Amino acid sequence: MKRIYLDYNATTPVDPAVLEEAIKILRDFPGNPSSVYEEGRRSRVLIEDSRDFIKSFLRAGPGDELIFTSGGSESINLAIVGAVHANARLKNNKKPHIITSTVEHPAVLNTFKFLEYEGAETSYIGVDGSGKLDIGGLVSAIKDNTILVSVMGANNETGTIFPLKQILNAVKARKEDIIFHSDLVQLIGKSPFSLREVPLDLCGFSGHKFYALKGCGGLYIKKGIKIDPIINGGHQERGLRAGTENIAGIASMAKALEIFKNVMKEEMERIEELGNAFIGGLSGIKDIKFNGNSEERLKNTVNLSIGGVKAETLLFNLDLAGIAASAGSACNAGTISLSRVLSAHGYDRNRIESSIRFSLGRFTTMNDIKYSVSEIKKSVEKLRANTR
Amino acid sequence: MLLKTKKNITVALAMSGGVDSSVSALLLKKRGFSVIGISMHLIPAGDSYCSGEKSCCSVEDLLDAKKIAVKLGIPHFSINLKDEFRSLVINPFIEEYISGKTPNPCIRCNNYLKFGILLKRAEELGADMMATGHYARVSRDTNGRCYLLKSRDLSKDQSYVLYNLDQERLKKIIFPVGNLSKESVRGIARDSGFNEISLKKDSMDICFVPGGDYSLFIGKAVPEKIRLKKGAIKNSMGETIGEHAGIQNYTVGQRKGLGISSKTPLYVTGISPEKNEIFVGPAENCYNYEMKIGDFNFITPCLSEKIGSMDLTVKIRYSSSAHPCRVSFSGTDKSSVKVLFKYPVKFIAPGQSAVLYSGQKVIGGGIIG
Repeated sequence: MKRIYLDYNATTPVDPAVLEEAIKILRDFPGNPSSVYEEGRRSRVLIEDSRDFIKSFLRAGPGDELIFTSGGSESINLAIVGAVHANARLKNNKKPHIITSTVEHPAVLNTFKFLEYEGAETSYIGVDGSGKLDIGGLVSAIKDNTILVSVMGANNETGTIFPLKQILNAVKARKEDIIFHSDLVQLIGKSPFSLREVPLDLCGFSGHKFYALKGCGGLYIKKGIKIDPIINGGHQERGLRAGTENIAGIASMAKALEIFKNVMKEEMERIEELGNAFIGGLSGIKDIKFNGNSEERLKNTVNLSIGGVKAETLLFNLDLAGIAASAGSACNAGTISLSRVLSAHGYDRNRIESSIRFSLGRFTTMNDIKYSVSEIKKSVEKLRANTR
Repeated sequence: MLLKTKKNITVALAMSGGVDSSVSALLLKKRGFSVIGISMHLIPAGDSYCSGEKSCCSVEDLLDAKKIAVKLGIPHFSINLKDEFRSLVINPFIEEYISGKTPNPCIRCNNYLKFGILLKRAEELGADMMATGHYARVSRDTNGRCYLLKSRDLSKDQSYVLYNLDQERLKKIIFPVGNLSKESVRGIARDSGFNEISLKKDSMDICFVPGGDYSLFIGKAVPEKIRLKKGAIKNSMGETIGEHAGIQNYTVGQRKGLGISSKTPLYVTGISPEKNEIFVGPAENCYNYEMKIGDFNFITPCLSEKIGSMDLTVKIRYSSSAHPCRVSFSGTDKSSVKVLFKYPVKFIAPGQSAVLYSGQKVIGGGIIG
């Protein structure tokens, strides 16, 4: 059966051009970048070229750093844990206070829990029903010992985009020396982003969300921001991330971002058009609600609840019809738990239990959308007839 | 009726990751059905009460089920029933246990979860029938009536835990391994390249109490409800002959851990939660000639008319032998059955399920009162 993939926020297929590049590198660059001979030098240069390209893509400044990691979760752990540990070490601050939002990815929330266990104080700032962050609440939560604020660029479940510039300015106006970190995993490769415009202190991204390989990511570190490593070992990555570099992964990210840079405008327009057609096609379903923010949103992400239809059952039915989508947060057993993100929006249990996320991407076609709309309607009708 | 080829019949198979349901998947595929694997996720990973020990429906088992499904090229879905399992199986188990009964949670799990919620979900996925890896058989007579039978391999028979099934559900159920012996099931798994699965041990304990220490489990699960209140151990004359450490530590028929020295071995013969007392006696005090079964379910209701005149057997727990008996109703109420044993039977535990058989056929079952 033909498969229709509508889960690009979970992961993306590797772009064919990126794949070609990755295979070439796996074959032609066997050397360890730390080695002193020819093979090592070639690998080293490849990594540094990739670093330079991605830094310029992000519009990073000359003294800024970009550290390659194994992905989004590691970047986030390195940023938050690394900053808090460095602060404790340099300023002997045993009780640092850190702030984040209630709708962050578990990579952030569970890192906060880990630091709570280590003795840090934490605050969690909520959102309203349309996913808007309580910026006033965030600013007033800042205290003398607040050292870090972490707010995501775009939410993985709802696609809601956060006004990072406004939040950053508000935080820095209140307390200049707060380190501002942002999880940009969902934003980079889907939406334009520039550090010139939003001068974050720390931000991370993940290759497999923008058609590069799985198992690679990066962390941007502004000049002057001190973090401690969380993986100890060799001196790779400026001493901040031990371990032999994932050369093919790193180069695949540079290649993927180069492609994105070239197709960004058309791709975003096309995906917005597909997304609108999708929403338009489904709007006729009785008792349908769209979750998150309808305007400030990644246009590839459609999160919706269909009254009286359990998301789990609908998802499984769609899978049998060849359509891949997701709901809530999946554990490794493959079962679905209630979305904490949507709970934080204040939605009732029924709305959360029936919520499904569709996320579109580069290889989605209008035919895919039409087929999906018709299959969703069919399944909903069938399931509703069953429960009557 | 439209002719349905087997290819057009969709069977949802409950997959636990064990050898029986895995071989069931193989057999159903071989028979030409369109198969969907479904698994129940019942026990939260890392929860205090499963203390890292492997048990049925654990994450590892779900991953095994997924592996088999992918290998066979069938879809597989894990269904999160953790909350339902807690409210419909674990909590009632705890309540019953605390009140001095000896409940069998597998009975409720099969009735409310596997052949309840899971069956409904299977239908929502478009399944026409549902299969499980139970050792039991379903037969149908010319009138379309369904009967639940013991499995061919009597040493593995699981019909006991299925006595709550009814006609409507039996019509939709297939037990693909019901005609096979455990050895041949393991053989099929081995020959089909599922070597690891073929070697998996049978689950013996209650899945949410790995190790089988109920009182430890209950102490951990609901410490606030445990009144580990010491009380009297009495003999059949009503004389206090010892002290117990809390009734939760005892079940009817228990011999070990009484802490009373006696020439003949003593067994728990009764538990009184009201008075916080345990009654003990020698083996000969543990026999009964009759018992009552409540909440009785007749699998094939028309048989209820005749059973008063039939020679039946009854199992009083999962592993019990089949005791010859006759039965009668208490009044007109068909949900309460009185059992008269041909020979006295020992260790009848209130709260356990009793299941009546006529030869291989399951008449029905209920809870021992």
